[in-house]
Amino acid sequence: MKLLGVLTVLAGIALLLAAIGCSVGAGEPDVQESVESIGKQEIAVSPTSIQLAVTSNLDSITDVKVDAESLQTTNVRDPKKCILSGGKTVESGWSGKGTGDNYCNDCFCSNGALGCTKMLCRVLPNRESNTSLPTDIPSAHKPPVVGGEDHTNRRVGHKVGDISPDFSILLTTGETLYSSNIRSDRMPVFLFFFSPT
Amino acid sequence: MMEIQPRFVEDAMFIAVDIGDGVDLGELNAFSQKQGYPWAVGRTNRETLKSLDVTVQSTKIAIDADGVIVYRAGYGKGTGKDWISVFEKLTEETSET
Repeated sequence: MKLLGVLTVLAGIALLLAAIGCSVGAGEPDVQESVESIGKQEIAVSPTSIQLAVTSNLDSITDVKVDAESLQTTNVRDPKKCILSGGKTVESGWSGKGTGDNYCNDCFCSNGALGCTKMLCRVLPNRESNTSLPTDIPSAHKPPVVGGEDHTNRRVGHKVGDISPDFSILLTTGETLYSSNIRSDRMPVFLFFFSPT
Repeated sequence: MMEIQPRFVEDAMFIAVDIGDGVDLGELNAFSQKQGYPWAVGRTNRETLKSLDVTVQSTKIAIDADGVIVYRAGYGKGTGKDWISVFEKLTEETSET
């Protein structure tokens, strides 16, 4: 009876050991397989995606480079001009003084881009703003009008020395003389006012 | 004036201006022809007379090529010598330009 009990216990132990051994042996290969499969997937996917991304970036960079080169080639053949603040157009490569209210600054034109120093120009007396003249010479130093006098300080009036007011005279010929014609035609007039009646 | 004006007709314009307002251009032209005026004759409006301060007949105003009044004389003022001098001044400035 005792012998039967001991055999039963031994058989149970043997079964238990066998069960443990089977469970340990079956688990290890599964973990290794899953790790290997994931690794294989990563290796299989990663090179493809990286390669695609790099290729597309290179394509776009190449496109930009080609465009820039073609533009550069075009601009070298026909460089863009610049328009100064006073309205004067200058060629690419030009450098000199600014115009108009920007007369005191040094400027240059490079293919349509105008660059100037940023000094604040002092407003000169009697300076005309928005002049369309190229003002490499400031207007304060303009030469006087040939054959004319400076009448800027004269007032409009009816006394000797005044600038005559605007007027018009209807002539018997059907023509009308306007005071502005005197200056434009450089034709002086002598007016004699009379009464026929 | 009839003797002086023709000497400067090329370089200065002489105009006799009616200061009244009751005569039309046809009547004025007829008057000018009757008098034998060699110069232009015309009429103007009250605003012009006011701005030039012309209040009486025989007022004389000379305006140079720059539009500046260089001579002015009222009724009974000025002589033939004065007018020659004025015309010479007007035409001298014109020929310089």
